[in-house]
Amino acid sequence: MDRKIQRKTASKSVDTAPPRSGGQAAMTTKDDIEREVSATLSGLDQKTALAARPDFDARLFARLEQGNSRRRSRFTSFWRLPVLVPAAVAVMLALNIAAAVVVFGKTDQRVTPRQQAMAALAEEFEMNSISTFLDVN
Amino acid sequence: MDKDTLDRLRAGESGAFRDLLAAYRDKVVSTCFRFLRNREDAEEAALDVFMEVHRSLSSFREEAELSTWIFRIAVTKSLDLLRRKKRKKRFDALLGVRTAAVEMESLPAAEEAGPEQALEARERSRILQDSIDGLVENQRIAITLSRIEGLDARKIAEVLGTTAPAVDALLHRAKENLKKKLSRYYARTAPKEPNDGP
Repeated sequence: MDRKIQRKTASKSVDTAPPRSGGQAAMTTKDDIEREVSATLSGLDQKTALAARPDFDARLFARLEQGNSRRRSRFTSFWRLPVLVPAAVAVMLALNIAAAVVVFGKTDQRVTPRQQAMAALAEEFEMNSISTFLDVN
Repeated sequence: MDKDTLDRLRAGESGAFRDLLAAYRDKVVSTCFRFLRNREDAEEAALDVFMEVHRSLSSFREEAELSTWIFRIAVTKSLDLLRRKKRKKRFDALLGVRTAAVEMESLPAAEEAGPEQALEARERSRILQDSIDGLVENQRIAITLSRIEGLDARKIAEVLGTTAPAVDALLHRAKENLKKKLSRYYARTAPKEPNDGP
């Protein structure tokens, strides 16, 4: 094509142009170049679109499905790791023990010997705090 | 179209994604092709674009139009692939690996009167695309997007994250640079006049 343009340009300047001086020849070449440039730049206005191949949608949906199943299998394979189940059991046990220590430990701390003695006396005389309070008033 | 499609997509309506695909498939493939100039790569990038769109639809915050968002993803994916290919090419060259040269394709020219005109139009399209490839990145993106139907300066500005007047200036500079590049090209290929030389 370059050769073709060259040929075209050459034939235009040789065949159709009248005899001229060197300056005129250069001018014609410049005009030819400008003509070629503007013809090529006019291609910018062409909004030609390339159509996707007919199997494009099928490929896309296959990939989306592949991606989904990979994500699903990644989730399930996470629980298939051999270390995970014993680790999860150990964590549950540790949490239970910690909770038991916190709850029972605190109860023991709250009951002082004096409180224990008061509770025993109240039980012996079948008293409770509400009735005592009401009797006094 | 955008708003309606988006509502249907979010409602999980079956067929909404197919409609979106039908509306944007060719435009996205063409956009990717204009950057990558190879059909295989363009379709590969376009597949990536639609997978990303499908994955990220829930996080799309409608700050931009749906079309603008899709084109932004298309530009990013195409440029990423282009950079990866260039990096691989450089790495292969460094290792002395000979890779098969990928032929740069050009978009089919519009219907011409005859085969000669069609060939000429195709060749002009190739020359133009070569010149566009030689532009700096933001000018190349702006001019490539301006060739997509329905993408005006405002939408291009949204894709590039700039303003419409800035895009106009960018397009003007890009066209001036293209003119210079093409003039140099045709001056090189023009035949020497017998009286031209010193």
